[in-house]
Amino acid sequence: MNDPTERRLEEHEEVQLLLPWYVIDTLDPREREHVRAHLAGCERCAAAARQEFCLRDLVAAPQGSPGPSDLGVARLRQRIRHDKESTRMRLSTNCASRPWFGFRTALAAVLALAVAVPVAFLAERGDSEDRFRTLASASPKQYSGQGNEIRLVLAPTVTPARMKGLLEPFEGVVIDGPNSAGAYIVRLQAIDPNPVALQNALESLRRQDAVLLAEAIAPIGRP
Amino acid sequence: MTAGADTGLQADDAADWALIRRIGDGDEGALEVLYRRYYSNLYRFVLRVMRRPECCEEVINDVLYIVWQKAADTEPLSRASTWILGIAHKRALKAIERHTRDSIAVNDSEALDLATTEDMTDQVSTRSLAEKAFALLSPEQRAVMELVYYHGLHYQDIALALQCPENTVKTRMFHARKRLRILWPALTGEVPGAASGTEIADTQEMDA
Repeated sequence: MNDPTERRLEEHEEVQLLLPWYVIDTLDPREREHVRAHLAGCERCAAAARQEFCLRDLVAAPQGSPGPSDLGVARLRQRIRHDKESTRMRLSTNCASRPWFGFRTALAAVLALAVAVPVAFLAERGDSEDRFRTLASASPKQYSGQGNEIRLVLAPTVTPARMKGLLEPFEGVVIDGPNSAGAYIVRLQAIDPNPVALQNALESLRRQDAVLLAEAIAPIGRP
Repeated sequence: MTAGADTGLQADDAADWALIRRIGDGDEGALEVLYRRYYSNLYRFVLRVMRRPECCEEVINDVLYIVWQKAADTEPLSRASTWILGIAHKRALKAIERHTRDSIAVNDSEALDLATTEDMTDQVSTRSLAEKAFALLSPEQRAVMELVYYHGLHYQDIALALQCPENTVKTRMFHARKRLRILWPALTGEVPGAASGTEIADTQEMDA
């Protein structure tokens, strides 16, 4: 340690290790001053520092990363909702194993049915247009009514890239969803709003393994 | 770094932690804001580490999903960006494990060919050079280099993010630099090996 040559070698090592942070100016004042003083008297380390500045510029150069997509956000939300659903299912399974809780739950369910069935019956009679809206959760006011909008449910394993690939031939744009059932509302921009074109598009989508459900928003032939 | 820039960073960090607290309370809207705010940086970082553009979206989704899961139990012990980049690092390494190997890695001779190409001044060439340079490094080295030079993180912050000793961070950078010696002529016009640095034994792990 007292050998000046050995000490000098250790100092080279120490400075070399700190050079990247000297270059980006994040060293604390004591370390910075130590490196600066060493570089002033060591041409070899000073050359390494110059290379380090070039390397910084090379690595930090812009790469042109893409921005976030609505599809990516939708996928993340779908994953979270799926997660919530699973948690809820687990909780209800656990609760069901407790006899008194099971009785209370059953009683609540019977009472809820007693109220909900007549209400649903009355609502059904009052709004016959909605009888086709399976998986509905979003408000119909969002739809353009052009006849090229569909509900789409994909397999949970489908990646955003795969979904994009599925929708691309139809210039499909996600306009809502996914809802708690994992259903998206998609506008097929490349499809003329006529029954034949829409039916063909739906059949093409249904042939894909990744597609669990593809249905027109409005009954076909009635935009 | 100026005092003004430092204050701006602190304000951004406070805003990010406020979002993370809201996410911890189950606010999906806050998660979307964080997703949009971090997407480009995460994309760049994940791409640098993995070098597979087709995997970036999936890994970013994983990262934000973990943020969602952990937000309620996470204390702001570091900058929010450091915490999120640490998660991204882990997820990217796991994704690399899932895929076979770095199939687009190039060998040293390809990098040497590029390094001796004369026209290195335009932006496209610089980008290509950076790509080739990163192909010479391990995923861990690429991560550290990106965290230092693009994100400007101190070695203590990187050690925190990657959950490794500070000396490991320093030696990863050192060995990465040694691997890139082959590119110095293109970068600096200097003779190769003129300033390659002293030999330093990596006591933590050998990345080179």
